[in-house]
Amino acid sequence: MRGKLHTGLSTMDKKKNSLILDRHNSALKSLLERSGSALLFCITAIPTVAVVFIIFFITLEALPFFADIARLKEFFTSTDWSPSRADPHFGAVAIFFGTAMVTVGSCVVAIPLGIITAVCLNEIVNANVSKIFKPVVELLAAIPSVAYGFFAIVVFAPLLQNHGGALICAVVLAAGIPASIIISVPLGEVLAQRLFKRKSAKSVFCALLGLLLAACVCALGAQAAKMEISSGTNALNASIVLAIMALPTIISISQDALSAVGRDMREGSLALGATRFETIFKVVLPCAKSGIAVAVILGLMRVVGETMVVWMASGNSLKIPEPFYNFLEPVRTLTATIAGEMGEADQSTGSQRYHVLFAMSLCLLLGGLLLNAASQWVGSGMRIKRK
Amino acid sequence: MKTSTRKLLDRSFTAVSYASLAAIALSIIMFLAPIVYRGVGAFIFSATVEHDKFLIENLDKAESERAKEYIDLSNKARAPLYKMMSEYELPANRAFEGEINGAFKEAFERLSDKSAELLECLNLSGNERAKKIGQIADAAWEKYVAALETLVDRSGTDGTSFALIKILRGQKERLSEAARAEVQNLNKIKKLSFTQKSAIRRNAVAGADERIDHMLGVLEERNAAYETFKSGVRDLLGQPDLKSRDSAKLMRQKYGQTRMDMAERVLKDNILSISVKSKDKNGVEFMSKVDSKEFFKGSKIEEMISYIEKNFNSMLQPHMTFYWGFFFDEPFDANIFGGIWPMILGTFYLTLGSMLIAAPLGVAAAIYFSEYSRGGRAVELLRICVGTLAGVPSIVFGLFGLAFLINTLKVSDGKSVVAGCITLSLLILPTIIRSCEEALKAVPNSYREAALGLGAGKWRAICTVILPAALPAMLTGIIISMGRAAGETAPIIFTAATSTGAALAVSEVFTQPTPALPWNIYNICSEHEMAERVSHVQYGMVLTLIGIVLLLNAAAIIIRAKLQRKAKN
Amino acid sequence: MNKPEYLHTPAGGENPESDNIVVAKDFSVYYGNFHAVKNVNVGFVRKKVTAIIGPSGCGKSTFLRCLNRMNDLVEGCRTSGLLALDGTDIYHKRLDVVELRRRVGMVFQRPNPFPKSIYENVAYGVRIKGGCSKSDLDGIVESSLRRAALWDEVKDRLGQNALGMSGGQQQRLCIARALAIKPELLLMDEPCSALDPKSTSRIEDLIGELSGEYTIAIVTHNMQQASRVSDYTAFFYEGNLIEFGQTKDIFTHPIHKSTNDYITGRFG
Repeated sequence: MRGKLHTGLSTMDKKKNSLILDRHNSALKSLLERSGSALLFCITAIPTVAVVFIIFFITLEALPFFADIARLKEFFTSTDWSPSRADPHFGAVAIFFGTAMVTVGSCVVAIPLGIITAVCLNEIVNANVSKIFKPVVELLAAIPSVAYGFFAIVVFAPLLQNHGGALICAVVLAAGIPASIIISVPLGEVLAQRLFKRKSAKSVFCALLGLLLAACVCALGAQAAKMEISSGTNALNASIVLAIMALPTIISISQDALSAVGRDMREGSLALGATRFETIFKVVLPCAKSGIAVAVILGLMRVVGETMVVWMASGNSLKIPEPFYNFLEPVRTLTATIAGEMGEADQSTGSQRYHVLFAMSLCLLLGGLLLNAASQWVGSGMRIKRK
Repeated sequence: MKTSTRKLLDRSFTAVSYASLAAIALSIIMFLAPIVYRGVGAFIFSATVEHDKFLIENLDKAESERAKEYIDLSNKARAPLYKMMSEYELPANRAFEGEINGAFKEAFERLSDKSAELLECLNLSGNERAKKIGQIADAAWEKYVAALETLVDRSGTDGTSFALIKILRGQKERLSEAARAEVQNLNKIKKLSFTQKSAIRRNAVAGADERIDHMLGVLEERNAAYETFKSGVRDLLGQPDLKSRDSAKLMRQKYGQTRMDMAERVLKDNILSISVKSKDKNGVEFMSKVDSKEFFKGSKIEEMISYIEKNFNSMLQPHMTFYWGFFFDEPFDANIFGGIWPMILGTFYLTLGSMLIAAPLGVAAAIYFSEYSRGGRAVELLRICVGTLAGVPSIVFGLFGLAFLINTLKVSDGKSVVAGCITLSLLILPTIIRSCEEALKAVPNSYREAALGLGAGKWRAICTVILPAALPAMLTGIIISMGRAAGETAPIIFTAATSTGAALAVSEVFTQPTPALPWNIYNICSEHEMAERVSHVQYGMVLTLIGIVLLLNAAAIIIRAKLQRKAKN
Repeated sequence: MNKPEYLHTPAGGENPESDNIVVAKDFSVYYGNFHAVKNVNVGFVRKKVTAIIGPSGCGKSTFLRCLNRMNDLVEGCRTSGLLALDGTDIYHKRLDVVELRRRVGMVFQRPNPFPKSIYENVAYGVRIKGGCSKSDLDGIVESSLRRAALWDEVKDRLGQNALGMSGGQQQRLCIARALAIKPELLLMDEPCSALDPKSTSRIEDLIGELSGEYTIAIVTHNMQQASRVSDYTAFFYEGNLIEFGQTKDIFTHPIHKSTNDYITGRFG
């Protein structure tokens, strides 16, 4: 071929032909290319179609229930859930409350623990430790939820039921006493500055304050030790196990956000004489704010949508606990209700019970979509900022 | 704030963060340690001879010499116990029946001798009359009843309770007959009025009858306790003889404990202590646990219990076993016996099926996003929808599968593996798309340029250069989503999972639901009627599932680590 | 063709215009609103080395990448005017881009061998064209590697991953890879900028050896390099082709002041 190319003008026409396609071939080629691209586009559209179909079908099956205004009102205002009676009642307030309770409970545990761990992995421990710890956290994320549920019901629930008081007491003491000592120092200093002049008085005051706080904690612990837990499967159990499940999500995404904060920021702060603690709180965390927010939202999504753990660990009671913040009572969540009752609801003919469960899952779906939108919104804010 | 305080705060924050790290490490250990430790116990454990019997008789395992030896030895050790038991339950023995009959006759004659006194008594009125008759009769029966009471007392030690109960019931009937006969006797002597007749009938044997009732009560209580003990023995050792074994409906009645740890628990809970009826102050009956040796003190049963205790090991022949069949055998009798093969196979089908659907689609979509799309609103929308799909709660996928795939499309009549696979594939599609897109984006642009510069078409360049370069990273993402598919429960509850069932053949996946590890873990933990007896299976299943998922993830992590090392070089 | 006034007159008869392999006429490139290459008129001579020089951002790389339509990959890039290869309009609507790129080889700034074996790298282009037996392929690989002066160094480890080679070797491998498909025109986009001096001089020697056989267009920042390896030089400045002519003319008596400033190192 090369030989031909170099023979000069006589072959020019041929060359032209080979480089420029005739109309037919060109059309064929562009058709092929376009159809390939269109095929890929269609495949790429599958998630979109799936989202539309999911929303459509869940709504379709939920509509027969929502069509009745009286039922709808009952659904959101009553706590009477008796779906299998001759005249069934579908008041879901207790179930919504249970969902909220378990979510709040697990957030209280998971968010501080997750963020502090992420900070620790990213800022405090040396690279080797975090290199080991990161895959471990990932493995924790990979463990199936039913295994967590198993742990909750088979291992944790009996433990909580038999030694619950002692366990709570130990946690309160272990967390409370160091915390009270740590808190007493800056608090004491601030207060003492107002009250006393002499240095010795200040330190005495600090010590007294620390002792007082520690004593309070001890009293609280003693109170906790006396607690009797009637059932190991309760809101506390579900919250703790859900928190463990949500931790990996929160840790790994927060850590990504933290490591995206530039080194120069940290160095700038440290160079101005800030301690590491101050650097983290005043510079690094504010910079990673939106990434951490995304992490929290995604963790929250995992908690709200989780089925197996709450089904197995929450105790499935239809009452709102008394008093409402009592985490030691069993509760029931939306997901557990759907999973537990769909088997009993008449699946194919579409009884009222079938539709009400779809109504619940519609609420769940909307919640999930809302959280997802929030995470994307926060995340896009983050991206714009970084640009 | 003072510098020292600031430093203290800094240090204490460091401490807190280390503490949180430790707390997480601790919770991981707390979570994994029991599961691993007890899960391993599902297939490596100290087995009893019952385990060998079960394997030989149900799973066509070749009967090894050792197993034969175990069975022989255990049969030998069990024989004396069974002999003791059958002797204890032996029916009435003629000799002491004759003795009783003699006593009865004697007593009845003594009563007949007292006819004159009895007739005299009839002249008295009301309570006085009943009392007097009772006294006379009791005196007459005294020796007879005393004889019976000695027998009952003795039965505790010589093991004749079963015989005695029958005899005493017979004696009660004879007593009422005797009363009637006495009435007729007296009637012959002197015509009695109706009230007089009934007074005799009622009072002539009342005292003796009452005492026999009491004896019966004692015996029955003892026998009920014996029955409890016996069922404990059956629980431990299985049905003693072949005939009763064939008639047993459930396998758990046929065989004893297959695992030594379970056997020890049965010994402790059902043999060394038994639950018996007792009454509280108000006379309300309730069941309470008592030390059975104390309870049966001095009786034959105590001997049996000590025999069991002494020969526990030789009766059960414990030996360490590696029961790999736990993974590859079918379960029997609600998972109490056998393995978990159908669940493993079901999980395998579901995972592989969803992967076969999701992986090509996900890779194709990722290729579109990274190589073809040129931005624009449509692509942005597609991207948002991928994120949205990832945010749908897993149970909603399950309901969607039910409402759309099964009730609307009718991909199968009711649940099927295929419906589950499609549902799961939708669930993992976003993860696959994202990770594959990341992988493709990580391929240096220079590879694309080089391939195109060498005259490769776009598709050619993707297939020959870009995909191979991105493959390890894509594989990592795909394997991780595979682990997710294997462990998801909520989407398959309504679409594919069934709690019981045999392993499916490949041809059945389009029509049949399957057992699957995640669902069966839930089931065996929450809805099993004998959770105690399957706790090793619970742990074993969880360990298997976690093992599968972690192995997949470890593979992914290793691939990624290799990739990173390569990138560094 | 009317000769634009900024072109040096080719030495008498040595460079008939019909022998120009590349001809640009009023050729412009835009990135969105940015006019990157402005109304360029030029012709590259067959079997000669043409160097394109100019300060950063002057459009020289853009122009080079238009020759095998690599700029198609850049979003928002469009062209006007005529750019012809052997009399064929490169930006023709029905042009077979794949065939074009097969005829116009390219060596990039950074060596970019595929993460495959050395053999596979060289064979890649031939393979995708197809219709080549194993023994032919072996022959082509060997001759390409020989021509790229790499054969002696790698003949014993053809199966090894190309990423294990040194940077200079990798770049020569990329040249060999481009030579394997026997291009009519070989584009080199600053091929030595990522290499150490020793590797650079090897590549320069290589270009010298190839110059009689292939038409080569090379973009370079290095004035010495341009003067050493090329027969013709084009000087780009802010998207305009300022001057084009035989290298010795340009470097000895540049017509324009900016050319003079650039080659004497006043800016750039």
